[in-house]
Amino acid sequence: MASIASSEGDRTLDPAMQVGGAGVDVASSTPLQHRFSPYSWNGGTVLAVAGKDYCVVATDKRLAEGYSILSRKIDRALQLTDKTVIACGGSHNDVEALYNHLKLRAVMYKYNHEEDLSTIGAAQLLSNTLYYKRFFPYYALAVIAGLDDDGVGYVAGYDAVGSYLRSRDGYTANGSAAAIAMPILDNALGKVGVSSGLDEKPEYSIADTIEMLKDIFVTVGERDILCGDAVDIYAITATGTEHEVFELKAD
Amino acid sequence: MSPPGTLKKGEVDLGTSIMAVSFGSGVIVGADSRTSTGSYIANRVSDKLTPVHDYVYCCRSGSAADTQAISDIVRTQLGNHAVELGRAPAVKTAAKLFQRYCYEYKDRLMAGIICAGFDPVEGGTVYSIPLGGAMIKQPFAIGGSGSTYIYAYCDANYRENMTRDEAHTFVKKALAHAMARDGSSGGVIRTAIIDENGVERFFTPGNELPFTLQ
Amino acid sequence: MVEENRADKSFPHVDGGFNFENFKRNVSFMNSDSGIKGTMPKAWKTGTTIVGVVFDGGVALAADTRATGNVIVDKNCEKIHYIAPNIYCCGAGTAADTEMTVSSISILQEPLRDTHDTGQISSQLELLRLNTAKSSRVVTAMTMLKRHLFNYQGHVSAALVLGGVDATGPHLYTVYPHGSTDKLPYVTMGSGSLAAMSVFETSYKDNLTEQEAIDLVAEAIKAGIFNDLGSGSNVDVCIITKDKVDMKRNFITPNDQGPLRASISKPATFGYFPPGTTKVVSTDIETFATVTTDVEMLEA
Repeated sequence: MASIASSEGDRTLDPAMQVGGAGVDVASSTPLQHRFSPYSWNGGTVLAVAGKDYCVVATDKRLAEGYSILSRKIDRALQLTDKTVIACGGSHNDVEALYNHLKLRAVMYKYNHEEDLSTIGAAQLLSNTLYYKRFFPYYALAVIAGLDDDGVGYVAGYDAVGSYLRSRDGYTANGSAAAIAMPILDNALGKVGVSSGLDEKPEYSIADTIEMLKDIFVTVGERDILCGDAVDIYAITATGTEHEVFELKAD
Repeated sequence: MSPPGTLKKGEVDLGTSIMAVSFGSGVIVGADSRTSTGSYIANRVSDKLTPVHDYVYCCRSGSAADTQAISDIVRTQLGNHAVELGRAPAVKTAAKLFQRYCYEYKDRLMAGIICAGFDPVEGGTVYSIPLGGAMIKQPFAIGGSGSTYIYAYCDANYRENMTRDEAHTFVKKALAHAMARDGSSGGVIRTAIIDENGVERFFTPGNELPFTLQ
Repeated sequence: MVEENRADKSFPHVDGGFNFENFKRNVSFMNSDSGIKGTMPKAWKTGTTIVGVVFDGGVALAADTRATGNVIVDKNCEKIHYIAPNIYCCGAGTAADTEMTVSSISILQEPLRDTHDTGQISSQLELLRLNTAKSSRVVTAMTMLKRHLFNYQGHVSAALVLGGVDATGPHLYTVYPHGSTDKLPYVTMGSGSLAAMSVFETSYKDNLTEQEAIDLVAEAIKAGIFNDLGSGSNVDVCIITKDKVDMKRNFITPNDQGPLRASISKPATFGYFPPGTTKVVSTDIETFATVTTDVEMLEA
């Protein structure tokens, strides 16, 4: 009769408030442990493509938890410097904590060195920051995008504890729908280990790359329930960064 | 397997306040109308007063599935029994049938039932069949999670030889107080008066609950 | 006789009901430390919004059309199932359970002698109609469903909205996986049920017209589609009145991706595979038969 449903455990807690007292023998039943989880899974898909002299990074604006949408216009990307952008899927509380830390470090770097942190430097900083919390990780699946010291597009993907790799073919995907988006990127842009038969992959302009990423997000949004609502697109060139928002389906 | 007396995951709970009172010539049964799954109210106007024969009702508390299944079985059996008997069954017979299932399957069921009704031999009669499958004849009975809040109220205010109207007021007022304090009880009050003339049903809307002290 | 023996050896004897022979094995897999732990296949769920409302002279049922596994496995599935000519049923929960419980086509209905506890409600009702020469009643379907589900103690996870019009008028029920039922003028089920119910609780009134009912259920499903991640794509509506059923498949399609795609001017080479995309590494043709085109005239 009286029962309190537990939200976390897979069983029902039954306090000894049963009418008539013929309920559970509380002492002999196995103890239930309820623990606070510091992590949640808020989705977030990040795609990035590097070109000869540009870089584009795109991430969706849906903040989800379980079957609920918490926001349709969350900002997942961090414009760290004029030519470096970081974007993360994962647990959004950790993503924000990580961003606050990185912002502080970037400002301190500028005061100390009187110049912006380079993209490659930021990439290493991000790795160190993630690994610093190796045994209580930031649940942030990061992508960094920008221009390297030669002005060439730079993209790298991370795991949650700081392992990172600059993409050889100039594209990467991370977060919720990475597994769906990656084969599409492989097919369009992959040169290494992809036997599509085309000897030469076309080199796309920055405008074409943006349109391609929009199309991939539409495709991905069709199959991943956590991906949708809108996409933030950051286009990075030597002259600076341009931002646009592209609307997706809301279902 | 989950321990006995608990709901299975996702099971619908009648979370309930139920009550039955016998007065001189009949009985009054009453219940709130809330059915919940966890914190969601699946039905805010449920009818937990279930007829099992012309003059016998049961008030259901516990698992909605279990109590519906039991009362369906008891209704068919009692119907067949009455045909063989050639007259209306005794309330005790109905209660005994409920007890048979509640006791036999006590490790698999979550059902707290109050069986009440009228028969010409015993008049208005109330039986309580709590979780373990006992069967207790009582002048009045309360049940469900909300009942814990009104034991003292009922003990203080129950009198033998109440009139029909006094008993009706008593039931409604007790339930209103249970529903006010118990989170898994609420909605409207449904009552039924069963006597030799049959069953008369009453409905008290949620905005007219007799909660305040006079 | 010889034929029969051979058949017995080739096919396991089926008495109806479920086969549990792998149950213990699977439990030991789940408890083992081997790599197979946690890799048990996941059933498709119809993380769903389904609703129903009674209106003046009939019942309106509606459902979204998304089916979800690890990804969206079907963007336009059908969740409104046939039960009888005058009764339909929306299903939420494990896709297999809703379909097998409700539908007429199932391996579990195989032995007709043992249909009493194996669900497959529409088949049983069809037989009942043939035996009694009377059209089915909604309570009959509801009782069969609840008995089947209670029998399996919640392990058959089908959450249903059952509606129809019979000799006694329009009826609408919800049936929960554990076998409890409710009879109400407006109902919702599935992961989007809270979103849909919020629409009903603000806009429902008694004695709706047919058109008002259609608009109301469609609005409720849309609330599920846009606010519940388990629901999506299109709105299916089914209107049941005294002597007519109007199945409005894809009544509203608020999630057409066409305009979105059209707004993108992607490069022509993206996603386009020109002839020769698949490299020819080597060529080897074997001749298995010679086809001649010579025609020989036969003498008349």
